[in-house]
Amino acid sequence: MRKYLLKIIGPLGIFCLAALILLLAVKGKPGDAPDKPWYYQFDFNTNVEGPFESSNSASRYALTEAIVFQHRLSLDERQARFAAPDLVYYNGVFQTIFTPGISFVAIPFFWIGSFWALPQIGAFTSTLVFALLNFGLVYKIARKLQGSVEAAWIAAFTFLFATNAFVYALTLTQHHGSIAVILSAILLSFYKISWKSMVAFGMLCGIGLLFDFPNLFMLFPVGIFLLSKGFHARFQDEKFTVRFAPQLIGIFIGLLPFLAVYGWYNLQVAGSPIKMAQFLGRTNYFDTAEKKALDAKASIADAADKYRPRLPFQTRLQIQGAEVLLLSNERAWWFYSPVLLIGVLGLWAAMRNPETKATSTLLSSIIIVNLVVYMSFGDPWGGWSFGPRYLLPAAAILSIFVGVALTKYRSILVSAAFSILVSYSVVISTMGALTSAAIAPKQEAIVAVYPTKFTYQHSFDLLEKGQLSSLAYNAWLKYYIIPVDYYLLLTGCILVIFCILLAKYHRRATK
Amino acid sequence: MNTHSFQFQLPARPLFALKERWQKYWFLMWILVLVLISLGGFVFFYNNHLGLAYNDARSHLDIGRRVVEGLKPGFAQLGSVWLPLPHVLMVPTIWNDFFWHSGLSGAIQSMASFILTCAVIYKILKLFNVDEQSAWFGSAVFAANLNILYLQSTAMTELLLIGTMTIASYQLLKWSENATILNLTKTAFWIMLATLIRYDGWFLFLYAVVLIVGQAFFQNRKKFLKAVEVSEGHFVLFCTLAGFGIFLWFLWNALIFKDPLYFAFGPYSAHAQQAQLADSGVLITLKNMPISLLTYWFAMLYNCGVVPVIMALFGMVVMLADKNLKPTLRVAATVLLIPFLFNVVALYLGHSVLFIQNLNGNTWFNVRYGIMMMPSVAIFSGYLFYRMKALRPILLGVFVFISVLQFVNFDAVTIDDGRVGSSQKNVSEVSGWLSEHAKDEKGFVLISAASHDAIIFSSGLPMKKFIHEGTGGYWTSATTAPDRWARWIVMRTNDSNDQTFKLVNQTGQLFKYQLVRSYPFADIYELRPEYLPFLNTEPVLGKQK
Repeated sequence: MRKYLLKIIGPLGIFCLAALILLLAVKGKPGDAPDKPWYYQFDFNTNVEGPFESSNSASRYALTEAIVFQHRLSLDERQARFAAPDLVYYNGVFQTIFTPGISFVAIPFFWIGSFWALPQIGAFTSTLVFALLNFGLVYKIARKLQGSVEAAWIAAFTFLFATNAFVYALTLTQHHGSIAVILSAILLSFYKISWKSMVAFGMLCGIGLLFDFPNLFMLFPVGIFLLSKGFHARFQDEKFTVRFAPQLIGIFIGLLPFLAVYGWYNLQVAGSPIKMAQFLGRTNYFDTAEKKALDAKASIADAADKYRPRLPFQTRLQIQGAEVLLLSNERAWWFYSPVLLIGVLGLWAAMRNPETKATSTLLSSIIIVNLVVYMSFGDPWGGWSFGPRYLLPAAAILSIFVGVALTKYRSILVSAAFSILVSYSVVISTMGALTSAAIAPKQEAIVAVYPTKFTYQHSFDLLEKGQLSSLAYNAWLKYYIIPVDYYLLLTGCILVIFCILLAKYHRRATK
Repeated sequence: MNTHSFQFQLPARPLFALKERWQKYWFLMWILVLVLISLGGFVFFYNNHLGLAYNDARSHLDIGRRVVEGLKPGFAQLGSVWLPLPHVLMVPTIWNDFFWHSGLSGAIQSMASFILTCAVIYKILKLFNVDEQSAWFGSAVFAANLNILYLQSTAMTELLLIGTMTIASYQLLKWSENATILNLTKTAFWIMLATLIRYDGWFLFLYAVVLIVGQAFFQNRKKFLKAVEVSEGHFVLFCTLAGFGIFLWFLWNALIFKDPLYFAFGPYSAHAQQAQLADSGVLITLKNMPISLLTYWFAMLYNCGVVPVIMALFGMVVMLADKNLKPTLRVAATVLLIPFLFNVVALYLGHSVLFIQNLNGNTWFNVRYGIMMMPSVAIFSGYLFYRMKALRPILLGVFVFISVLQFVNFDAVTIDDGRVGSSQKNVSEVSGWLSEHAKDEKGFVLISAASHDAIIFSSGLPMKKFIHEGTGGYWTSATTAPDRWARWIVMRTNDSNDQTFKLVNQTGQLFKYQLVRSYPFADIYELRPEYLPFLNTEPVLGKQK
């Protein structure tokens, strides 16, 4: 009984610990008037260090608010102004440029939050839930790949607190939702083909599409993997036999309702089920007359060029994309989350193990697709962001392999390297989580009226100025400790967790 | 798999037969597909008017045409600016106006080279003992590159050079395996052809000499004297044929231009042009190895694509470290890196110029040089595909993905260079004026072919309407007494690089002409009506030596 309880209480405790750290970093600020106890709840405030500092959160939130308060899918002018520039104006209707999935998921959270006059905090909690789900999924998959219990927990903590996943757990963006979909699909691939699993995979594809269009690219390798499991053709006994698992049809059964929802949404806001906002282009409705004139000129020149690119993903952009995402100090892993390099070691080990080879090949495929897709994208920086936010799915997978690496290579050298790299990574990501996720790309930062730093140095500057975004700090703890101490305390807590897990891991290894 | 599955069975024998037949004929089928791709590419780019976007493409066609038509036709028209083989190959078809003006006369050889190169990439990979799928994959990586498909549809020399160099590399690799005299001779033959297309071939020749002599010596190293003799024999045999083209080129320059090094240091040589660029401070690769490396690296990335280059880098490491391959084969495989080495060295020494937009210039220029690495990228990628069996689905998937992106977006840097970069020259205004006003009038047009070949081509007028540097007595007479020979003069006024302006200006006769049009690339002068009675309008000089 005691053992059984421990089996439940242990993981539950770890989950609670992770949730507590996340809560301590949640963004917010107490209000300055009795009728306004908290900022950001009803005022569309896009200040830096606030929850709406990035328009990708604001635009999705605007849609959620429009659905809950006005019962409609288009935005009014106030919401549109708030959502800009991630806004589309088509047929006299404002709509968010993003697919609506994240806004839909946030509806119940927003609604519950509204009871306490905290709709923003409520809506953003949906991402926290996804983040915790991903925390568990990373653990589960690491275990499936023969990671030890401690190493799997280390992998989960690495993902959530040593990468920019920490920063994006505090926003209303697609990242954690998308990762949850991808990791769930990976988990499904471990199981036998059945109607249940295939319908579930179809549903995940549908949800992935509603969260963010490129998720389909990353789910594609999983789809191929499942198809290869369910479709066999071979020569046997003078016969050519083809076998096809009918359960594969379940993928379409699961997918269809979500396609219908997306088609219905498009029909409501754009007049056609196949008119997707992301392909209609941003509006300059709220821009100045000069900017509009410039845009019109560029648009005429663009229309005249019959050889202009037709898709947002372009092969020629891969040179810039590869440089930004893999080499530069603006967004690359080696600068923001070098601990993920240990994951490459784990991937290598897993691919050499016959038992985990197939799955690790699938996972490496998703990493490659993730990289190639966003290398081809015109904005590999992800706008004003913290670290390589588009590579978060790949970061989740590499975190899984961090656990595999620690299980496989039990040497002190690997542990020492891991300790150093994870410490550095936690220091960086915690700082991003507690300050701002909006770091300008180099080309914008250096030409700005007031030039800013284009790496996490910007977050350090904010920290030095005492500009923390944490609700817990701003509401209650600022009376007891200074911002830097709060940051050090939180970073220290996370590192202590890593130390404990590492110690347990070594103790078991020695046994 | 789950036992509840749909299942159907077919008798295996006919399927086996079908499979066998497929295995027997699939290479032929692949060649047929390549022929269709090649023809389709040409038709597509011809219809889009992109086939002749490059200034150089039009110049190449004009050189070929001058051999068969003009005031002084003959092989002497091959000149010294470019090596002669591409123009010689045009001779059988260039007399036809459609072949000349559509660019097909030059494109045929590019198209044939495209198909041959695809086939040879397949053969090279087979030489490295890869399976059918991997050999096909490497071949497809080459064939599905939009820059390659574009250049194979034009009268540019890249594909012909790529073809001969790749076949030469294939023969060299075969020789490194079995060291037969026949393979050595075949290598020498294809290298000789490459040396008659572009100077990249000369570098390949030198590298091949080192490889062949080195290997011959190494294989007999136990007996020093014998090793020296064998390597000497290989050197003589190889150089006699492989170096024959180079020897002929020196001889040609000595006979026609009275200087065997005229091609290298003459007034129209690349060296002279690059010297001007160096003087104006834009040749930043000169004596700067990091910039030269970076420039060519980016040219390669833009032409071959980032993903194929990354695949190729891994493939190269895997191939060169593969102990299952013979050491001689692995050493010989370094020949695949020759285009990279040559271009970097040429940029460093200032013999070549290449601008990458936003790296070392505001526009593109000669960025197509990066495509020379495409066969190597394809071969190394094919090898990676062979070795990384577990990753095959993803390598194939990513390759298909980027190919679709490239085609849908029409994303080819060589097309941009030809359309909006410095390699294009929109001379339609000048050529349009000439076509409209000189077509049905008697009289010659005095023009420098070295500066304005694109105008000659685009005007659509017959070659014998033009007096240019290659017309011997006509040129001498017209630049001495222009009013007696040239009804129209096309030149860049006040630009002494334009030979027509330089010489006509010295005569002091320009006042007899009126400036009728001034365009960005050239001005057009027409003889004043009072001098028309004294003008020669017929080719009266007869056959010239």
